[in-house]
Amino acid sequence: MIKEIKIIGIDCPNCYKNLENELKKIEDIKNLNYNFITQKCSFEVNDINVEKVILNIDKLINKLELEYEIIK
Amino acid sequence: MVKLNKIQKKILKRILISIIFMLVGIILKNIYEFYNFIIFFYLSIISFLISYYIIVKKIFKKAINNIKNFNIFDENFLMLVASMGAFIINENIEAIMIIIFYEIGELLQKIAVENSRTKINEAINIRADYVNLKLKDGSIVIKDPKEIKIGDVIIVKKGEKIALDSIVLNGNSVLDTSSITGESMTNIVKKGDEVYSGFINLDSVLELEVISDYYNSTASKILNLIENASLKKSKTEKFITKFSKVYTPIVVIISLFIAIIPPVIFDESFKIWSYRALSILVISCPCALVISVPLSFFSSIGTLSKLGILVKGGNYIEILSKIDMVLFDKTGTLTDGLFTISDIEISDNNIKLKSLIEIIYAAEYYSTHIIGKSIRNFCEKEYEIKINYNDIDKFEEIIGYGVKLNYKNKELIVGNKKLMEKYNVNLEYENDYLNNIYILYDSKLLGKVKLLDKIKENTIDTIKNLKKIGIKKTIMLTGDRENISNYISKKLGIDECYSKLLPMDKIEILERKIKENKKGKVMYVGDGINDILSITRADVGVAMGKLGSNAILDAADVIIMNDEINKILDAIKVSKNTIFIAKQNIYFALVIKFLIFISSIFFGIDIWFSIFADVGVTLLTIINSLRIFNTNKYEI
Repeated sequence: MIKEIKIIGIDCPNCYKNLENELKKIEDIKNLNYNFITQKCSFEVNDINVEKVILNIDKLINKLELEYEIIK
Repeated sequence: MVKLNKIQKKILKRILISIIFMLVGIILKNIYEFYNFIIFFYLSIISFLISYYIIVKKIFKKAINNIKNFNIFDENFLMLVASMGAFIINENIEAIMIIIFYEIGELLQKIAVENSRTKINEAINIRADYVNLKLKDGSIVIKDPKEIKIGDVIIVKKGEKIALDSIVLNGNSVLDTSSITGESMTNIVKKGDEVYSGFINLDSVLELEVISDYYNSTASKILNLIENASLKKSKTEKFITKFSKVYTPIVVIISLFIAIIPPVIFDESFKIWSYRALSILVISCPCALVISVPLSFFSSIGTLSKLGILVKGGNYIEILSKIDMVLFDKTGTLTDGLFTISDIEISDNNIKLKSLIEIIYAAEYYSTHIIGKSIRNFCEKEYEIKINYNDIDKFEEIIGYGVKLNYKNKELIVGNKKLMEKYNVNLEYENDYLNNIYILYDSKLLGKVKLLDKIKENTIDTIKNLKKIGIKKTIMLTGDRENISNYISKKLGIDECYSKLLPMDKIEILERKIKENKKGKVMYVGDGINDILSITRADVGVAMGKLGSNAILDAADVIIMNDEINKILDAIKVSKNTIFIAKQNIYFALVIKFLIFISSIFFGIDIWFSIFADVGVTLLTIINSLRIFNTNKYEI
């Protein structure tokens, strides 16, 4: 399924690239597309792994002291 | 008033709490100095430590994180070292203030970026959030646009955005097309008309049949283009990223030398020199550059999209600013495919101009051909001709030749040379016969109408203004015949004209021009599928106003959403302005920082001053970048 989240708090293109790389490293995430302008990050994930992936994203984003909300 | 988001509020809270503890610490310290109770001294130190801890925690984490990723020397690290150094040499308040000011700068930057982000999002706010889907039983349900399929019927009420490309099934209305075409123009639609996603219904309810799903709708395609635009970095942006990677470690090493060498070799005060070194660390922060340069390009892309010009990346902004040669396709780009009447020649002296025009008008009255329409428009506008259409009889269109009819019970044949030959009319030799329309009435040749391509509005001004903003050469490429092309290019004020070209010839000329034009960049402006190769090959390929054609959207670097040629002027101007502002920021930041850097080494500058200078420069460059949004001054 395709998931979409909005990540708030990234305000420089460099940090944005770093975050994108970190997100891509998360297991079971596919075709990640993170946009600096709209702050939206969409990715593909297997239905079974959704919770695990969201948990990992949650960890990463909290570690970086950012905020996020799940759009769908 | 600026509205802060959650994260910004958090930062603000942290800054305020830290300041409060710092103030408490200052008061306690003063009490200690006055009464000399040692307990107050310890209390003040504790206050300072709490204040410091609160403010430094995040930067510390970031710096540690960066070190883990082998990316040690960045702004965070710089600030951390400077402030810790200050703590060590017992300048507690300075230590705290370095971080507090750094955080204030970060906060303001976040607000500025958020602001431009909102502006870009507003400019590209063309996606509808919901759709009113009409079910077969006539009931209406609200749905996500992504769930709508081709063939579904949707209802768009007054004030609502059209979510998907559709055809009008029922209703008449007025649409605001500005979000797609960038023009504050309204469009009247009726049954059978095609409407694009992103248009806003201004008047009455429309019932539409969807002809394209969400992902292939115009609005989505356009959004994808802009959303991906921030990925393609300009050379300047890349340079700044590289520069700060080299620059920061160098600064750290220099400060280290400054702190160590004078005391060790010249036996100077260690405290004075480490203080100076810290001041240098603070002023050397590359924040101003790292923030303002990407922000400039970011703002530029947003500004252009608001004008109806889509640029596919920051790199193209840079190339656009260096354009000094523009190649145009003729039909559809400079001319709009219609014709104007350049001249009417009378061959029969017994007839007056006015009655000849009346006859021409009658002949083309029912014509569906573009030439017929053009002639009709001309007659109506210039001569206010009125005829009695009962006089027209047996009208027939001879495709590829002209028309044949009975007018006032006499045979009227209007058409090209080939048609005249069919009716055995002998014509004098002329080399530009193709666009001539002859009038044969009652077997007599009355005269001919000379047709010319209709030049698009603003084209002449645009060419003139291109010269004014530094375009050295304008060139027209066309498949059309030589004399007509030459005539048009002369009329437009175009420098060079190449005619009778096949698409491959266009590429050849384009490549030759790119080779010849070593200094500047070359732009190609075209509209049709036959221009795709040239659009791809040019330094900047511009496609004009063909919404919905995937191949062109993919090939072009710049897309002009409407049909107005003068948008290329805007594109070049905004880009030039962007580069100017970006450079201004770079030089300004570097010069100020260098001056303070030098002064710090030789005279020793207060850390406070360095902090203010650093934050000040960053803010000024951010504000300067926001000037790009101001397009008023681009108006001619």
